[in-house]
Amino acid sequence: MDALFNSIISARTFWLNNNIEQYEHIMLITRTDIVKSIMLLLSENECDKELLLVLSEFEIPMSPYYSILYISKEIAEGLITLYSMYEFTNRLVIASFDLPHGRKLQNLLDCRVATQEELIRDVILEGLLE
Amino acid sequence: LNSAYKSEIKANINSLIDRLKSNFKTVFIFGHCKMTEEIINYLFTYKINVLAILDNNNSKQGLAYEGIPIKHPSAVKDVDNSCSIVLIANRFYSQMVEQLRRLGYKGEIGKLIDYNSFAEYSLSENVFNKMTERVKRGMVKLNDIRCRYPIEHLVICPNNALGDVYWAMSFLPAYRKKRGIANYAVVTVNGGCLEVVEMFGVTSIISLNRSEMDELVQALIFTHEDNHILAHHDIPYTDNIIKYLNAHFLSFIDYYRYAVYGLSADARAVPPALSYEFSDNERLVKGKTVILSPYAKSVVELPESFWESLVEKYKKEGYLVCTNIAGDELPVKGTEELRLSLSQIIAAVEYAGTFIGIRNGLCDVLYTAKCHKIVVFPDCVYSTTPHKVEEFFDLPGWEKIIYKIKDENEGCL
Repeated sequence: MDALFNSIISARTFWLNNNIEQYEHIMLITRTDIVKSIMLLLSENECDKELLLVLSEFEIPMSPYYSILYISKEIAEGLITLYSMYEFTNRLVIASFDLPHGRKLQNLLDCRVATQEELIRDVILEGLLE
Repeated sequence: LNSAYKSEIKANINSLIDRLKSNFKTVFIFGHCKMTEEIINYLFTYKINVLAILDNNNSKQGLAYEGIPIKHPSAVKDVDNSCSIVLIANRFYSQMVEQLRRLGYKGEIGKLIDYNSFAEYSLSENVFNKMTERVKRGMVKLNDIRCRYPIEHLVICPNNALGDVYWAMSFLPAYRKKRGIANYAVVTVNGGCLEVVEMFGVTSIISLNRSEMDELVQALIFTHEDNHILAHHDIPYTDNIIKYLNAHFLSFIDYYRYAVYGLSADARAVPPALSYEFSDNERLVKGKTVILSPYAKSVVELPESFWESLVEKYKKEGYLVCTNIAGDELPVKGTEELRLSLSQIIAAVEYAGTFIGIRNGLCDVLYTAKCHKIVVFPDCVYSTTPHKVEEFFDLPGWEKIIYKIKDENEGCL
């Protein structure tokens, strides 16, 4: 458990020191397989680089529609853990179907109720897109 | 609303009363729901008038309650903020505060209920430490539960709402079969929800109060505990599955089938396992009694005249008409008062013959009751979605009454 608490302390320090909250939206990339779809939707909607920050441990394409800040795996996990401790911001979007732990979007995919594209556009990116 | 919420709201209003009377020229309430109307009625008793109800839902804007218009939140910019207050009794409190500040609102904001303990938009040391302590309390509770139920799959019903718990229990056998779960325990909140769980024959039950439940839910997400399911369509905030409804349709029941449990279309919802005898049958006329349920937790109530016209109709047809109530609720004029426990309600309506209820959690509990069942829906949309309440909360097999809002000064959900 000490590791969890240490990770949230590091994540908080990262968030505050980098003045992350200056952006209106912050998206945390957690997997590479959906990056392409996300980036396409962001560019189609002409998101504003000044307003949207993408945090990623993976390499992602440069774009005029978002700013990028590369982070370590530890910080990425720490941010998810911190967000799992309480909803400290309403600006963070975690680009995942199953994170934070126990997230049930994956169920809608497994049951074929929704497609990946629908969930990315209408749930994960809801609020970022016009 | 349950009495604990009402008491908390009233206590918070009471603590503001002197300032509301003297300091504030303008009072707004953010978010229109049944709770808002109760707050307005309560403020009226102190001769405090509300200028407008703020709501982001386009379909509500332009309506009114008791002559108080429902407007877009940007209406706060139309008045002098220096002596205005926005009252909020909503689980989206933090989001609402942020929206008001973004709109440039500089006046006071009053939190009337701590309805959502999960959110606090701050990483200040004070808030961070407070929330760290909160999750640690949840971890202690989780540890206590695990001492008693070390291997059981924990099925968490986090919300104090009968309908939510009913469907969580109803699809639980299908989920257990799919996952091969033999040992399980259900964690629920005290009161009626506990009774609903018991109706399904569950014997391993842990019941918690509201704050204990919130802390436990937080600890489960935080610690990545695997052997559990949070069996709710809208909790916790990390899921966001309810947002799917803004652009697509899935009924309330299907939310439990697909989104919560990940089951297939043919997964069967089971009825309650235990059947209880109705012990007070001398008060009712078998097959010739109508039981009314006019109160709901979240759906806006219908005017008394609506219920009174039903009473008149059924009485003319020779029925005995009763109102099932709880707490300080009042029976509809001209009806007999009933206070049925949940364990008796199915047997009671089957004995009575007819049940008519506004769409509330009791309707879910009575979903499989064998009698003439009529559900009344207010004609309005559900929350921020584009879907009508009668679509989302549909009860297949029930007769429906859609209550049209005739007067555009009468608000809805």
